[in-house]
Amino acid sequence: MEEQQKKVKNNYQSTEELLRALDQASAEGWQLVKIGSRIHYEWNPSVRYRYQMDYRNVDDLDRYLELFREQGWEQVCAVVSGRYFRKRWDPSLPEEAYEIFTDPESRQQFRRRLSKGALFCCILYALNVVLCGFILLKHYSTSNLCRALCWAFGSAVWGWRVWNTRHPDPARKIGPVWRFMLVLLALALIAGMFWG
Amino acid sequence: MKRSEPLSESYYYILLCLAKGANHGYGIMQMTQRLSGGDVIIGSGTMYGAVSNMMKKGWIQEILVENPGQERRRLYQLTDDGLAALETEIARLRRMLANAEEV
Repeated sequence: MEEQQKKVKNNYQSTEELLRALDQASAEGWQLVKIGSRIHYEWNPSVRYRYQMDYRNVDDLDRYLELFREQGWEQVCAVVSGRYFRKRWDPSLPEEAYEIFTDPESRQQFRRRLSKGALFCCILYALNVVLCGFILLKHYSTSNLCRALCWAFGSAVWGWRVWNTRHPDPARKIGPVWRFMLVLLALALIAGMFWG
Repeated sequence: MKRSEPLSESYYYILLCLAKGANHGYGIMQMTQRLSGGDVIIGSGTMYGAVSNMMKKGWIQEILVENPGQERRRLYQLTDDGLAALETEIARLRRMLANAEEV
């Protein structure tokens, strides 16, 4: 049989949303191969998996993978400091058997690790807002105002990502209309930087 | 005397499971489920974080067991400091229970 593969754009707004999509795809016969800006699947309807993701710097990879293997988890792929795992779906197992973080402390630590990159960007952008604010006070122009607002907008977007990662809520989602408006606003600010 | 931090449920059960002797990760997970009547489950991510942290604190140590013809096993063992941490936690829980019974 000819092997079938497909690639899907990875534009999920949270890890939880991505993991739900991977579980759903597996139930439909598409199994994860690797994740980047696109998600690579291969067609194999004979198995069904549940997926989980961990994000951390591992001191001892052997021990780490062994603790996952012991509970039936197999590493599928690794990205930066994140690793995606899968476990064969068994309808007789309770839902908790597919969790890798099972207490509030470790769940919170995971979300903190996951949001570190976004927090760094948020702070970096906020520092640029301050810098642009000083420039704006000395040399007021529409261009400088748009530059400051552009960094502020970026900082807010990263801040929202930090908040959304640390306090996930499946109901909280930016719809296509809002996305379009935000992109328009960002483009208007960038245009203002050059033509202001 | 400096008051020690209460242990999380996962830390407590991992130390408790090792009190009777060395065990591997899966053994700890199964014993925790049995002791708690299925209420406490320790997932792999939680287990790795807890075990790594307790190894850094010197509460548990790792032993590699070589069995001829079998895969190498990694066991975890309680240290004296780990036993002391467990006993402190048990004393804290006993005191809290006694307080509840008094009221």
